[in-house]
Amino acid sequence: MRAKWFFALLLVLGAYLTWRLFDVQVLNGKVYARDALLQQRESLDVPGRRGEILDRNGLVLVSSQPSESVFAVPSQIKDPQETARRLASILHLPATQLQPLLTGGGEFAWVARKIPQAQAQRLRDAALTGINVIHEETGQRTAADGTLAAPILGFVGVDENGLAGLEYAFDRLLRGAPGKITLETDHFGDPIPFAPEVVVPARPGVSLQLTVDRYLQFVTEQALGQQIRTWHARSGTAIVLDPNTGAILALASLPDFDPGAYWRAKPDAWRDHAVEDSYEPGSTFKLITAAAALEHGVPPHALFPAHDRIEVGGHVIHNAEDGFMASGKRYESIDDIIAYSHNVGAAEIGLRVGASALYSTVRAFGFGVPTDVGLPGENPGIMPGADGWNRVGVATISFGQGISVEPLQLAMAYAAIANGGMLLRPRILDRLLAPDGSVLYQYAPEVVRRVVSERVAAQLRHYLREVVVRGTGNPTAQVPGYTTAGKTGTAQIAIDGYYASGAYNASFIGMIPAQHPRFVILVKVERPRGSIYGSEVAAPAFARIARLAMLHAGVVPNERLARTGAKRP
Amino acid sequence: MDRPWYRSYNFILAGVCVLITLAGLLFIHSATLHDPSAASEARKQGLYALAGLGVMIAFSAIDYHWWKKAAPYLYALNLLLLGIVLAKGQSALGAQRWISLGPLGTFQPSEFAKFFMAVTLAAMLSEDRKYEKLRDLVNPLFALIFPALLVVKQPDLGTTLVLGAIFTTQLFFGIDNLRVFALYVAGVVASALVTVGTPFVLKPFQRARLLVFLNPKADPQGAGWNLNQSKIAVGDGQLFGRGLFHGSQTQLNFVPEHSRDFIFTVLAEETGFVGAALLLCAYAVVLWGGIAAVASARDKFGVLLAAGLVAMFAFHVLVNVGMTIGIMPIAGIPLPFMSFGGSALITNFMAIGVLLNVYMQRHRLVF
Repeated sequence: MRAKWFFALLLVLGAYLTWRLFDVQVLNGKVYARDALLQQRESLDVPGRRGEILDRNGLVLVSSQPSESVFAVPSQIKDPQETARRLASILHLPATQLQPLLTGGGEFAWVARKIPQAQAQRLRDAALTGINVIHEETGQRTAADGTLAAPILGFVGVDENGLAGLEYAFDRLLRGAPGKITLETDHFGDPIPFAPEVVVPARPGVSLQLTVDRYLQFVTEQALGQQIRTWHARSGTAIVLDPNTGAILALASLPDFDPGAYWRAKPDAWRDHAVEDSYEPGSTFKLITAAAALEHGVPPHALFPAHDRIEVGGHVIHNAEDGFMASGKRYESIDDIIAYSHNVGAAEIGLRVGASALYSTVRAFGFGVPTDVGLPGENPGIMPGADGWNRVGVATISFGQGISVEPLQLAMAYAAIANGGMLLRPRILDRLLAPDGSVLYQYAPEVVRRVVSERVAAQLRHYLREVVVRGTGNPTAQVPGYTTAGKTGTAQIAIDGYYASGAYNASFIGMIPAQHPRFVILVKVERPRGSIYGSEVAAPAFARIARLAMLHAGVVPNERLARTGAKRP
Repeated sequence: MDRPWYRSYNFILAGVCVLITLAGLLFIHSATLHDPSAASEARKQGLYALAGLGVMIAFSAIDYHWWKKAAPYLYALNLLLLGIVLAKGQSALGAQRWISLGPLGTFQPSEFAKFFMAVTLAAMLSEDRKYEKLRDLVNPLFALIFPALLVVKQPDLGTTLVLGAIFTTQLFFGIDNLRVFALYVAGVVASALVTVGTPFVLKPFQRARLLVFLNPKADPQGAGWNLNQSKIAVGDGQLFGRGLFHGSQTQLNFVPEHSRDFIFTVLAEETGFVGAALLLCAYAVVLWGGIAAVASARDKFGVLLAAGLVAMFAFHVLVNVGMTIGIMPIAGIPLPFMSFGGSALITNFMAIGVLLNVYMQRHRLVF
């Protein structure tokens, strides 16, 4: 019977068809479903949650909060005037400004970015045709403590793109991988009004854990700010370092700004004065000269003729008229020259060791090259060229003129003296954290090179101690109950090759405790008025920061030291 | 007929067809939800269905032997209508397939041609003579070739293939010597290979579709688009589907022509394998009903007529469903009772009416 054959043929074909359907829909259905979803998504990027910036203890300095933004699909808007009117009443924006955005077709136009939560909710409730509100897990960059550490942290633009500071330098790490798509679309790419948002999870960015201690940062900014206010200074910077690891515990730069409204601040406030400025260090540089001398065979107790002025190559060099004049003695030791900050003596030391020895020591301490700390815009200072190292040059460089340095470089140089002679690479980053908090990378202390021997470093610390005990640092750099060591600096500011009258950088770089320092602290105040001396303008901030840093580290004042205090001359 | 008519009436066959039509209305509605220009399709299809139902009932009441007498006239009418299409038909989508009926809309003679050819060829092959040599096929082949050429010219390759399927099936039932049938099949296969292999015979888009069928990934944005999108949509349905009216692939217009040739895609995405398998079962019932008519027809004309019509349905279902999952080339063949289109729907109901009548007049001993 042919009908049976025919029926059998149809059955076989039908069974094959059913099997193929089963294969496509059930066995491989998930694959096709994924393909379907992929092509239905509109490529409206949803940025990944930007990484946080944390202090060394894991306290949040900057984080990203969810945000809401509004965009229009003008081609769907039938009555732009009415839509603009209703939008305007919710967003508190002029309707005349909104209407052009909604008119004339097109598929996409931002109406407002990062609007307050309440406005977003009202817009959602209003459900205006062609107006969409998108929720992003990121978008509102929020500094937990307002201006705290703002010049280090920097700020971001409207797309959370890093524009300054660490936000800029580590933008690629902080920025997450964007989620590709949010809205279902038809095959023309138009968003479908009825379709729910399909949120593809974007990958959050990497978080930065800094070496900065939030408490010390606060203390440092307060102390620096107080000096700047007291002396009506233009700006200032202060750095607190762990000399044994190179970790930057605090880095203040004032004036600062509110990262949430950075556009209101003058661009100069965005500068991180600790790395972006270079300056003539003045007397704080004498220690480098002393280091060169000791490293090149000058005995620690060598004597130099005591003068208040000498002539070198037709140029007159004289000591500052600050009450610590050299006259009355015939000779002075390196001790005295550092303690009383004698320019003439420093020049004599420099001339004794010679250009090449001084040059090699200056280079060894890392001057003239960026520290590679990772902060953007490092200004490594200016090393004099070959003709700058003649006798006049050597004489002036010896007391910190004719050379410019970056504050952080100088702080690292002092850290090398503090830790026994090792120049370290400064670190602002402690580790990189994955979104789940696990450690992606741990930065370790990095030795650049040995600069001076242990013995020389100890001798240099002794000089610095003498400064505080009986020299220019007495008594402003003393901290009751602790031993401190350090060096004052007062340097005229050179503008276009000439020293500007009345414009000085007052600085102090010190360490605490004096013998085995736990902290190296640099304070630099630019253009103070009323006083120009590092001892008056900068040292008190050093003392305040040093005391609080020790207390914060759990080291209480030693009663005996507090009672006897330091010797007074 | 010594029994009351309703005892011999295949209500199941008629009922299943009506059910499929109702399902068709539902999915046409779903397919046109977001297409304002096609919003009236479901309503129109409802009217066509009512008309079709009337036609089915009427045709089931016509003694099928009447069609044998009318065959020459129907053949002439068929050529006439196809000729009109060619001379002054309406074009759409690069093909000229429709005749305008003014305010009544358009109709598509190539759909009716399938029914007419089934009748004509059944009449020829059931003439009182033997078909046992190859040259006996010359006359029926001539009868086939004129309307087929007119359809090819539109161009409508799918319908031409349907005509071929009807003819081949009828030959299988009508030919006395099966060896001749085997020769015929060999000839068809050979000429098909030549057709595909030679340029100029097929239109470029037809060649492209065939090549895409052979290798769908070759051009996913171009000629392979329809096939890939349809397959993705079917697969997206998975076991239980995305839910009625929620087939995103089809609702979002990724799948073309989804109320017409790709209606199965809508059903498969929205109701999943369960729905698709259920629909295939419904078609199995229709084919079973048709084959029951073939097997129990009281004379050769009845056998051939029923066999031709069953072949028509079977071919439509296999090719249409097959193309949505890429095992058949995209041939532009509607899914019976499901796809939007009045001409096809009414043709299908005509065919069912005739099958019902053939079955009603069966001799009692079988089944």
